[in-house]
Amino acid sequence: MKAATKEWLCIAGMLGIIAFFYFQLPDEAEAGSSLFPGMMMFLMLGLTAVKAVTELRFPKRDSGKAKEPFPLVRVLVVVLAVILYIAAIEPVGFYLSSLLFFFLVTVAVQTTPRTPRALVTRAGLAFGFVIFLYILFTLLLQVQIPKGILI
Amino acid sequence: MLETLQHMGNLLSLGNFLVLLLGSVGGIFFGAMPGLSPTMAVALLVPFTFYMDATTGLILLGSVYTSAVAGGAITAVLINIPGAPASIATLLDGHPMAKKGEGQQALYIAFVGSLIGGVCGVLALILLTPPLAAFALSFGPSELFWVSVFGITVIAGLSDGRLIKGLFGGVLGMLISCIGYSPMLGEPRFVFHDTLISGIAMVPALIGLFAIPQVLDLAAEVHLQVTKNKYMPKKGVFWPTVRKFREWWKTVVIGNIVGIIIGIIPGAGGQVAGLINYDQARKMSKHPETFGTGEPEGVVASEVSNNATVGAALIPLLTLGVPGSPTAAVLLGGLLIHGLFPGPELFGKHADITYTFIAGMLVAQFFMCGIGLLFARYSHAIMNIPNLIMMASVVILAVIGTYCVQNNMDDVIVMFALGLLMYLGAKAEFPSAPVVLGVILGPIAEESFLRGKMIAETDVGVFSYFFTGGINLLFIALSVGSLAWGLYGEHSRHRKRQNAQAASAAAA
Repeated sequence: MKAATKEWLCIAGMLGIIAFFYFQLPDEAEAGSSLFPGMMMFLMLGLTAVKAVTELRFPKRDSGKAKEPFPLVRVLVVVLAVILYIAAIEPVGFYLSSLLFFFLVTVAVQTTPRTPRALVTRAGLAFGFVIFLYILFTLLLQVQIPKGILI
Repeated sequence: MLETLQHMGNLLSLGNFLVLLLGSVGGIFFGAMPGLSPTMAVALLVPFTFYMDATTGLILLGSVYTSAVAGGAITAVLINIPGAPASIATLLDGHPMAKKGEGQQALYIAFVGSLIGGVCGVLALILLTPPLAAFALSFGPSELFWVSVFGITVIAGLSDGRLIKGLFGGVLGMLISCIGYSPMLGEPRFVFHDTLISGIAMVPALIGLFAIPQVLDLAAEVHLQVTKNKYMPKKGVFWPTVRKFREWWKTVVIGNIVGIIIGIIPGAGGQVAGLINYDQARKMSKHPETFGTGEPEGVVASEVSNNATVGAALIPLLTLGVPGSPTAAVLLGGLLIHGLFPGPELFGKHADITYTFIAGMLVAQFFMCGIGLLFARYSHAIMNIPNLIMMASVVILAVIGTYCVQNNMDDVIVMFALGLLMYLGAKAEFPSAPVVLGVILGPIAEESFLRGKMIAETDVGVFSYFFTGGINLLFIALSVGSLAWGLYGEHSRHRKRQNAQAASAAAA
């Protein structure tokens, strides 16, 4: 994507954020409670206008350097894995879900060959990390952790 | 001063010595773990101190507090995630130094700078308690409002070449902080989902906005392993690094002054002090363009200043019961569970406990530095951990760190959602630090503004209230100056770029 197009998309995004917050502000809100957010939105609108004027006067140029392709699939896999992990913490329990997350996500996104030795090492690391968390949070700090199916 | 020295002898007991040692090790460990903030470390330990005598318990909390603030520099330098909020400015130059293979120097600078700042902060606590507490008392709503505005302009000014995006991010952070109930009128605002009814807490915002974009960047760079083997500790680095502090004396002196003043002002905290002093150091430097690219003076500026706030934040806490930082607020809980109430009684009836605690804070600075330097030598192992492992570990620590604060999964969801949005923002070159500072300062700014407006409407009028008075004008001038300097920097960079392009075109 060209640098200038990216900047204009960015300006559109800034306007989108302001519009999103503006339409969420309750109509019946008392003047006091909407005054400060209103001021912030007004400021953001002003800054967006300044950004647009700057872009018109001094359009951003491409650096000319070739960029590496963005690893979208790998990033999406991690995002999905984190969502599943957060969803699993309460029903499955923190330690078990952390163990599974650590092992599965590191295996799923690794770019080197998945040899049996690498998998065993990864499983050992995941287990060791979870034991460390158990010692720190449950034994030493006695923090309440979701136990899930282990109750 | 004399009272503190007299009580220094109380620290010589084996119990107090062990507590100082354990507190310093634990504090540095907590500080070095992304997602485990000093506030959380102190909060988690407060219930344990109930089983100790008051002096030992307070020494433990004080040593954890000071070491956790300094320990935050380890992850800021090595993996570009501030272990503690106060280390935000440290990563701006600390991590580029680590990338250049100067991580060891960056860590030594961070811990020696923290020692200097920490000792000066505690000396301020000892010497300046009466007059400075009176100065902080003179800060009304309008002054606090302008301090918040100044904080945002400073951090936006630090967003190299992205001043407008930085400012937008700072204001957006303030708007995000409005989510939930209005602090003055109790009306819900922007509650898109029930999860947001109680607003966005600081810890989920801080962890999400910093850690999640970092995690996704690590995922994208799994194959690169840019960090591997860049930092291996060498011999003969420490003393040359310490000697360089003579060159940075101005930054050290100003950092201590900034840290002490900001520490005394309630709510501002180490992150604001670190950023303000970083900004000052860059403006005063003969080579400001090196800041952000691995300039050691940037690390000095941040660390001296943020650790100077530790002792200073205790000045209003011990004299008035007004905490100078969120961690000091938790420390107040530590005082209260031992039946110690801030005020003149602390320095009279409980003088033995109070002065031993202050003496403990002074000694804790040396423990922090010694253990930190030792830790720094071996923390290179963190750099050699594959990105994959780091990514998974940071996610788990971020989740548990967020969850622990209120034992609430909703906070975890908010943390991840904010992180995901910030990742998209970062792709459009929006810096995350102004958004975080906006979220932190937003509630202070809004409450101060509304309180000030109410006072002004019954008194001199809004304009006169907010735009007159020495302290108000000082902070307005500093805010305008900070923006003007940022604009000037952008303009000169733009001209340099144009000249370089013209020169290369002429050469072709």
